Amino acid sequence: MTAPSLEGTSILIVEDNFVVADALKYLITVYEGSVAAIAPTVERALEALAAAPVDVAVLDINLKGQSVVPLADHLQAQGIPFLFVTGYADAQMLPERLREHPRLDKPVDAERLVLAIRNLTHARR
Amino acid sequence: MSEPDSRLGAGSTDLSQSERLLIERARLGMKLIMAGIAIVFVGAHLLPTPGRLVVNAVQGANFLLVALALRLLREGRSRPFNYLIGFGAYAITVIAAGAAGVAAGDGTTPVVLGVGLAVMSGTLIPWSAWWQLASVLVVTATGIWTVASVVDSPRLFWMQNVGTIAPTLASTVIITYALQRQRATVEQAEIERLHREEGLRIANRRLEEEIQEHRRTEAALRFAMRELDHRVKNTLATVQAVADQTLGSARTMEEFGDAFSGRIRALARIHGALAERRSEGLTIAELIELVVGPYRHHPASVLIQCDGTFVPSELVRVLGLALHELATNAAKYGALSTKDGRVSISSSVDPPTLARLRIRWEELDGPPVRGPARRGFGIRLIEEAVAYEADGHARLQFPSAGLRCEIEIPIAPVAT
Repeated sequence: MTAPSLEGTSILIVEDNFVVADALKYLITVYEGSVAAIAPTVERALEALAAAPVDVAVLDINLKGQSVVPLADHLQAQGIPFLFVTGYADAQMLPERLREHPRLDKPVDAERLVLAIRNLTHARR
Repeated sequence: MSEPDSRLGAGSTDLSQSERLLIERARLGMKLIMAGIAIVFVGAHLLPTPGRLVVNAVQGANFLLVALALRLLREGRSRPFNYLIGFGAYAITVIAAGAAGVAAGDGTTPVVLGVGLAVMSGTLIPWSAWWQLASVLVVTATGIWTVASVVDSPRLFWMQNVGTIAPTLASTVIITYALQRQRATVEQAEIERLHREEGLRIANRRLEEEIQEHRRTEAALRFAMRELDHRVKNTLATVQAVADQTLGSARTMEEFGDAFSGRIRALARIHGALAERRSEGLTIAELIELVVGPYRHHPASVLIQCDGTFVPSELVRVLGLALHELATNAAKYGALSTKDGRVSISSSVDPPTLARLRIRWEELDGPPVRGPARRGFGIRLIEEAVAYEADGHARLQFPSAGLRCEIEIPIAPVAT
């Protein structure tokens, strides 16, 4: 089975590690998605959201000690779907209200990530 | 009458001690009674006594019964049994004294019986020293009154009273003294017990504290394990990303292998150095030596002019990777690829209050520089990664005399 295409999907990547963010960006472009921005902090992510439309956000939970939770709440309020990519295996790190969102463990599997993004965009339509 | 041993609480020292004392007292009392009977017996022979045969028989029986009671009274028997024996011996003596009095024609027998009862209650029931003293006083007063009321045979009556009252008085005084000493011993034992209990409580508390400490350590360890898990996964994600990106920009497998293992080695050195510093960070001089040092092919080829400016751990990795890219590029294509080429690295914090760290990389006396054919992962690691993660700037320049790079990152102001 070939992984589905992400064509026409604009994705925001929030990840503090440039190498990982850059690789995710590369991976998404390989699957024909477009990356709206990569952002290392909640502030940068909010700037990116204001600057360009975003269909789906991929979030790291811990941004060099800064929690991504305020951004996730904002996205939820805006109705923008998102998923977490994290090194934290346990859900304890997230407040109850955010635990229903999909979570992928680092290091991330490319096809699983693409499928998860597809599921989010489909659910929205 | 062989009742089983029914002493309660075999472990209770106080109880068995008081029981031993009770038996001791009863024994002493009985021995004194027997001595008294002997004296009365002798006295009856020395004085003109009516009904001497009956008196002698009664006194003989009394003596033998008390002797028997003395044998029966034993530690380890049940308490009621010992009470019965002791009480019995006294009762028999009182009855015998009364019977002897009647046989001798003495009219004071009822009084003697009363005296005997007072004596028994005083000596047998060890409620307190005061109780016993009061009993002794009652006995003495009764004895004096009895003597005063006797006119017809005072000497015989004296003998009888000497036989019962005097020994009992003596034994009461002695036993009271012994009881006081025993009380003191019990009190001392009680104090020692309290001390032991206090010691136990302290030991218990200490143990409790140690358990708490252990729990805290365990929780800290669990937290550290989770943190480690988090870091390992992040590191693996980085390694995966480095592999993907290196693969994306390599032209041959050999180039991939060199670049990939170089980057992983640099990451490993950085992680190792951070672990030694408990992950707090490194000075800029240490970081540069750590990453660029391995590329120094002779002492003068790498010149580091940096101070002890501290780079926090979250910036160490990205800055280290950028410096690694500069060093590996210099070794492959730049100044460190020739014998005479040199690299000069200097840093400054400028201005000190704003705390922006500037790092200047300058290659000299190397082969002529050509600009990069394409913008590969290495260049992105230098220019974009530092800007992205450290909120700084990095600029590469390619003058033909030698590659230059300026990196500028904000750092927390240092108190020094």
